[in-house]
Amino acid sequence: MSPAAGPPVQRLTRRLAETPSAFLGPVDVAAVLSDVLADLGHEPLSEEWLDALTPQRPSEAQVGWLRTCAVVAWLVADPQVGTITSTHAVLRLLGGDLHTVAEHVRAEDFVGEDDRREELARLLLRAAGVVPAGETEAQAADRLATLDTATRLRVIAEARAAEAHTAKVRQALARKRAQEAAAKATRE
Amino acid sequence: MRGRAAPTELVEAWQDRWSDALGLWSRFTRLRPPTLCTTSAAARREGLRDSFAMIRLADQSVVVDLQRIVALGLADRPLEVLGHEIGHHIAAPASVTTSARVIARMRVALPGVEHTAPMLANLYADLLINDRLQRDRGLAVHELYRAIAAASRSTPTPLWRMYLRTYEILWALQGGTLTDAEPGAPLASRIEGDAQLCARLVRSYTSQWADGAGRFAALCFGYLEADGDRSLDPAGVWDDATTAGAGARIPPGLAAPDPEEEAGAIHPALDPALNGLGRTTGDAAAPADVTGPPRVDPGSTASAGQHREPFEYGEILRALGMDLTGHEVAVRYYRELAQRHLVPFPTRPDTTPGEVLPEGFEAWTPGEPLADIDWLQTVLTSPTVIPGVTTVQRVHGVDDMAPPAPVPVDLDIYIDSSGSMPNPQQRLSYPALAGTVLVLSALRAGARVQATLWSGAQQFQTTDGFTEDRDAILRVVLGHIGGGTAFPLHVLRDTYRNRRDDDRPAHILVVSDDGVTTIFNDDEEGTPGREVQATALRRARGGGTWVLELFGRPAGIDEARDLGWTIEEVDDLEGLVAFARRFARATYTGTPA
Repeated sequence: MSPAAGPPVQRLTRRLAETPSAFLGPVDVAAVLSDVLADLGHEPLSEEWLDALTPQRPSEAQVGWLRTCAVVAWLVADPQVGTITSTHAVLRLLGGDLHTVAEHVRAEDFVGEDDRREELARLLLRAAGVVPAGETEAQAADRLATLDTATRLRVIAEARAAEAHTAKVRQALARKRAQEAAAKATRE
Repeated sequence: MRGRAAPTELVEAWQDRWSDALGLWSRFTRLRPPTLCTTSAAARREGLRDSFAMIRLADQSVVVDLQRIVALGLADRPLEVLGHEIGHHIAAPASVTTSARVIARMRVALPGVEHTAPMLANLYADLLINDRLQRDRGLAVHELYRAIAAASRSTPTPLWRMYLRTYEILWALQGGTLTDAEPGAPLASRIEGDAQLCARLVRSYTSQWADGAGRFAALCFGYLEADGDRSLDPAGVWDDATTAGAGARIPPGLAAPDPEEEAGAIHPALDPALNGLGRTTGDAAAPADVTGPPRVDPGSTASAGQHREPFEYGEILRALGMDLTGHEVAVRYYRELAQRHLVPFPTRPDTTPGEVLPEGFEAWTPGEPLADIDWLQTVLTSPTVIPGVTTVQRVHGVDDMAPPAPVPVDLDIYIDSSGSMPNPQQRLSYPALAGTVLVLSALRAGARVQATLWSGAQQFQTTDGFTEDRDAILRVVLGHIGGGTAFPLHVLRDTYRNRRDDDRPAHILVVSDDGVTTIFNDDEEGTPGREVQATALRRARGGGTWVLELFGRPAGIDEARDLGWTIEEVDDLEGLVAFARRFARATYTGTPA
C-alpha cells in the first residue's frame, strides 16, 4: 500500500523560512514541544523524553540537536503539518534522522538554506509516513536521497579524495607547461 | 545535414515567439530578430556549425538551424531555445569582456587541456541560463536535453553524466530523468558528489557567475584529464556560444591576469563555502596537502608577475573565436601594457615663432591625417588620386610676430632584435614595451616616428622614413629577427644625409646591449661609423641616446659620449620601461620622472 499524500513540500519549507528568531535562541525545548503537541491534541511526551530534552550538562552535539528540535517544534506547530503527524512520528524524527543530521548542520541552516529546509521538511514527512503532494513514493525517496546530509557528506568526501589525486596531476602539468614555455623562450 | 527544409509555417511560428522569448529576460532587451534558417546549409553560411542555435555577441544576433531543430524533435520548444540564446546575451557571458575573463580563469585550472576552456565556459554559462529559465520562468528546458539524448546515438561520458545529474539536482528531477542511470541505481559516488557540488556552485554564483568559473573548470579537469575532449558534449549539439566573440573588438584589460585567476582555480570539494564541510567534523580525514589551487613555482616564468605572456594573451583571444595574427595580438598586447606608462611626449619651443601662413604644397603620405589633404590641389595635380603619390597637403610658414608655438621632437628609434633579445610575440619583451611606450607617447604629442628593428648585416626592418602610421611603426617595433648583430648604419646615414635644417628636430634613440658597438664599423660605402654618427647627430638637432643593458664594458662607450650620445645603462630589461618614462620627462622637459 502506497503512503498517503501529505502537504506540498513548499508549505513546510516556507514555514521553516519563517521560523521566529526566538526558536533559535535558548529555549526550553521540552516545554515548547509539549505545548505544541498538546495544542494539536497529540499524546504528551513521556518522562523519558522529557529528561532527554532537558539534559543537565548538554554536550556540544546535544546543544545542536536540541536547537534543531526547537525548529522542528515550530514546524509541527503549523496546523496543516501538525494534523499529518503524531507524537510518535515526531519523536521518530527527533530520535533518529535528526540526531545524524544535527551533527553536521546548524539549526540556522535549516532555516536559512534552501536545501537544508527541504531536507528537514522531507525528513518530517517521511517520519509521518506520507509523501509530498504531487510526488510518487519513488520520487520522494530519490529527492530525499539527493538532499540527505549523510549521503552528501559521503559523496563529497569521495569527490574530495579523488580531487587529491587530480590536484597533484594538475600541479605537475602546470609545472611542465611552465618549463616548456621557458624552454621555448630560451630557444628563441 | 541533408533532407527537407523546415516549413515556412515553422519560421513564422518561431518568429511569433521572439518577443515572448525576449520578455523572459527583459522587455527592454535590444536584440535584432533572429535569423531563422530553414536549412542547415543556410545556417552554416551564417557560421552555425556545432549546434542548432547560436549567439553572436559581435552583432548581437541569434541564428537558429530550424532543419536541425526539427530533426532533434525541438520544433515545439521555441521559447526554450530562443530564451536560452537570449540568455547568453543578457546573463552569461553577456559580453566579450566577461567571456574573456571566464576563459582566462578557467585556463588556469586546466593545465594541458586549456583548449577545452571555451566549451567549458559555454557549458557553465548554460547551467546558469537554463537554471533561471527552468526555475524562475517555468520553462521545460530539461525537455531539450531529453529530446536530444533520445535523438543522439552517442554514449554519455562521465563528465556529461555529472553535468546532466547537476540539472537533475538543480531542478529536483528524479535520478535517471536526464542521465542514463537506472531507476534506484545511483551514479558512481564521485559523479554524484561532483554533481552536488556543481549544483551548489551554480546557485552560489548565480549573481557573480564569472567568479565561479575557475571552480567549475577545476571540477571538470579530472574528467577531461582522464577522458580527453570526447568528454565534452558527446551529442555534439551544445556548442552554441564558443565563437560568440568572433568579429568583436578585443576586450581591454586582458594583458594582466586578475587575482581571481589563481585564487579561483579551486575544486569545489575544497571550498568550505560549497562543500558544506566548513562547520562540520566530517572533513577530518581529508588529505591535508590539498587545500587550495595549484601553487605556481616562484621560479616559473609562466604567468608570474603582473602580466601574462603574449602567447597566452593570444590563446585567450583565439579561444574567444577571434581570428588574429601574431602581430595583431602583439600590437594589442603591448599597447595595453604601455597605457599606464604613457606620458605626454615632450615639446620644445620652436625657434621660429610667428603666425602660421600658407606657403605652398608638399606630398601627403599615408599615415598623416586624412584631413590634411588639400583635395583641390590633389585633383588639379592628377584626376586619378593615388595616395602617397598624387596627394598633396598645404605647407605653412610662420609670421615673426606670433608667439612661439611648441613643436614635437620626432623620434628615430633603433631597436636591437638580435638573438639575445626575446621574441616579443611569444614572451614579454621589455625593449618592445619600452619602444611601444615611446612610440605611442610621441604619436600622442603629434611627433612622427621612424622605427628600425635590426639584427645582423642586412637583417633589418624599418618604416622607411618618419611616419605617423601607428600600425606600420608597431609592426616594426614588435617584429622579431633573432639573427646576428650589426647596427644598420646605412639606415642612419640615409635618414640624415638629405635632412634639411628646417625639418623638425629628431632624437635618435638606440636600444641595445653590448652589440651596439658595431655602430663604429664602416658602412658599405666605406664611410667610418664615427663619421656617419657625427653627421646624423648634427643634422638631427634633437640629440641622441643609447639605452643599453651591458654585460661587460665594451670599447667605444667613451667615444660615443665624445660624439654627443647620452649613454643610459639599465640593470635589466625591465629597467627599459622606467627609462622610457625618464627619457620623455627629464631629457626634454626637465620634469623628473
